[in-house]
Amino acid sequence: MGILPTPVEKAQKRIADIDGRIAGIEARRGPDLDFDLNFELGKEVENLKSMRRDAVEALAYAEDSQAKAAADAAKASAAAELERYTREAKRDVPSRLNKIAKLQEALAPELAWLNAHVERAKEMNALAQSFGLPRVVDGETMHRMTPDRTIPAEFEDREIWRDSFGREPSQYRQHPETGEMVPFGGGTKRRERVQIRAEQFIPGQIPGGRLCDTTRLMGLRGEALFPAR
Amino acid sequence: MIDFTHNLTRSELADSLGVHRITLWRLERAGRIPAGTRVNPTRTEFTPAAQMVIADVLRQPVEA
Repeated sequence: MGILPTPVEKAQKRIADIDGRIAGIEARRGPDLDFDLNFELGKEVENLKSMRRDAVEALAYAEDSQAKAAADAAKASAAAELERYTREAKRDVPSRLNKIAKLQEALAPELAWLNAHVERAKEMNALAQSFGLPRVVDGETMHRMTPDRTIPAEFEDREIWRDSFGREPSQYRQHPETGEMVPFGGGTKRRERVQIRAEQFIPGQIPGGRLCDTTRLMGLRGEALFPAR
Repeated sequence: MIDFTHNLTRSELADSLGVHRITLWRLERAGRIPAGTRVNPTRTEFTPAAQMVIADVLRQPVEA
């Protein structure tokens, strides 16, 4: 099944056909041709030119119609999308909201328990300090905190000039023969290992922060579930 | 066969295209074809350009 021509394509083809016919007739015409035949052909060309003007007008109308149809289709598609969204808002959201409310009501006591546990860590550490025992960490830190990380330093081998005192010269000139940059007072070039980035220490952290600090639960009527006021 | 050289009335155009004149009137009302020019209360004419558009719209092959 091929692609069917649209009215625009048909109109374009018609113009091309008329142009072809005009060119064919013009090729036949000439000063050597019989006067009557030449006159007839001239009339035919005039008719074809008139038809071409109409065909151009028809093409403009077909293009306008096509553009309008495309715009209408896009508008209909947008309207359908909006309709779907509104239907979703009316039909699906109430049940989802109820579900969220139930989950929040179930989650609030868990967070309150975790919060109390984290708060107790201070008391525990005070107790440990009073008896000279090692410090403890709360459960959230213990299970969620990422370990400390160390990114090692990076080194690179580079060719460096050194003077007789072992210092790196500050002024250079271009060697007249080799074109290489060499120090003014002379020196020796040697390959050395140079640090290009220092070692980096990244302390461990709880990703996104503590749950009790970042979570806020609220009932459907706006009542605070966690943290409780 | 339409020669697209002169204006045609709605009935003449419908006969040439093998459809009923009411079909043309309905398509015209739906905006799918150009509207004709009403030359008097009982006669509506279509220019050759309009005839070409209408022929293209009506001869649009149906996808099989």
